[in-house]
Amino acid sequence: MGQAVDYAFLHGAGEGGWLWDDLIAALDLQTGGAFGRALALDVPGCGEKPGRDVEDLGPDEVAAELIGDIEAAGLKDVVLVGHSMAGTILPRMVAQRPDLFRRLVYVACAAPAPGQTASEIFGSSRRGDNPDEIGWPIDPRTCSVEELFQALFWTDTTPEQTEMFRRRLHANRWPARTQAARDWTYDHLGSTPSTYVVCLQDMSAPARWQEVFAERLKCGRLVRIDAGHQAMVTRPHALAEALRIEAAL
Amino acid sequence: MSGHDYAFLHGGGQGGWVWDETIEALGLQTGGAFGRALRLDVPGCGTKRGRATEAIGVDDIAAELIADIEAAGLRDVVLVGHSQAGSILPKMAGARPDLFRRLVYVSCSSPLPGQTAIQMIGAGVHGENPDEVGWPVDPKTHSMEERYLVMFCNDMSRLQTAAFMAKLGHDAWPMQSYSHTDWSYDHLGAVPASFVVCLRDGILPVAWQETFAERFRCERLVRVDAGHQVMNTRPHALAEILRHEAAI
Repeated sequence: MGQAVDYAFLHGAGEGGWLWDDLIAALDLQTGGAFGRALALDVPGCGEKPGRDVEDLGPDEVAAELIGDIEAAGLKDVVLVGHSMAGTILPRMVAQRPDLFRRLVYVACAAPAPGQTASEIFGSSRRGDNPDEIGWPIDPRTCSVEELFQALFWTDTTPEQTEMFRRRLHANRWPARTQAARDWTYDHLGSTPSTYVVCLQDMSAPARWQEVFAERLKCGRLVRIDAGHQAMVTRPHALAEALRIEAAL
Repeated sequence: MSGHDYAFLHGGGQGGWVWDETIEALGLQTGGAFGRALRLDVPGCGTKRGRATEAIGVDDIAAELIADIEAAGLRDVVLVGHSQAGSILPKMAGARPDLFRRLVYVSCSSPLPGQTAIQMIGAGVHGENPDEVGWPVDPKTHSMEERYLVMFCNDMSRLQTAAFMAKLGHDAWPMQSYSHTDWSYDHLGAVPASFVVCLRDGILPVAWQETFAERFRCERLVRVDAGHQVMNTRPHALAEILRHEAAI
């Protein structure tokens, strides 16, 4: 666990590279700063890449740009950590540059079935009504985006953390074409070692569904954290410790 | 989240030393500003090895540990116990409820009233008898060392396992701890309590941990993806949990 490893982090929808600040601080404290480098990536239009005309960027273009960012930073043998929607991008990054990555770590990541958009993975039923669908805990047609994110993602955050997410929600929009993509492939995965971090209290995808995604993403290892969807904010030290252990394998 | 005093009580066959990694993690996470951490030792264990403990009963252990906490000057203490410490924490909280801010039971066990610790575990394997915790492997065909490997080291690397096994064999609880039957839990609930469930525990199955959590009147359950020795294998996850529970 003591060796220096480079990490790159990719946020999910409604988030930016800022998502990982607490986690990177925890890595720093746990290792006395000797963990290598940490690069918090931004999907075009998010984080420190606001105001770009990104509507036409599909997931392949997003993946290519992020690989360019990692190369520009000079990272090698990278542990690539993704959260939530990043599950749609990590497989494309590893398809384009398998040599660049030491391990992929999917934190409560979504992996839509081929033919589905990311939001269609929820299905159209209420949570619990149809065992073949994740289902919605509240009706997305009658609530605001904030209410939806609160019910799905910000379930165990402090009021201050929730407000931070809420304030930044609309300034971090993923490219529309990436959100609408349906052409997912997972057959190429498995050659880069992969870990899935299951968030046990996640209200967006229950643990059982996260395990379905982990299988789809060909993750050889599962690590569980007793937290909601935003474990990097609510349990940064538990996640940092898990990352250090996974990175050292 | 910081500033609280912690007292830590080890389990059977171990000593205060078992908390070193977790206390170091608490220090790193808080920049050293977490208050004080006192590693308690049951007579015969850790810094109290070599004591004549034949005459020491379970109530004597609890009284001595309270005196240790008072002598150290700790107040509003978060009392953290592991494994067999579950048989002592209720007695400590019963004797001095004013001393404790919160009890945290880390994969702790304790017998039913009228039962010994030996009877609680039983002689079979996990699941064989629904009223006994059981052993992970058959005690009739596996040596104690083989059982320790499965009970304590199932989520440790080879290096961690060797280092941990080398620390065992030097700490022994007073024999009366294993014949005592006068347990009571009705008084619990006055001091807030949390139970840390170790999801990959090799000795106490998760369902049994939840049974014990209920016995200890724990109103909060926190789960951690680790074996029985979470304080050694996931010290940062445990330290973070303790900071959260202490701040409630």
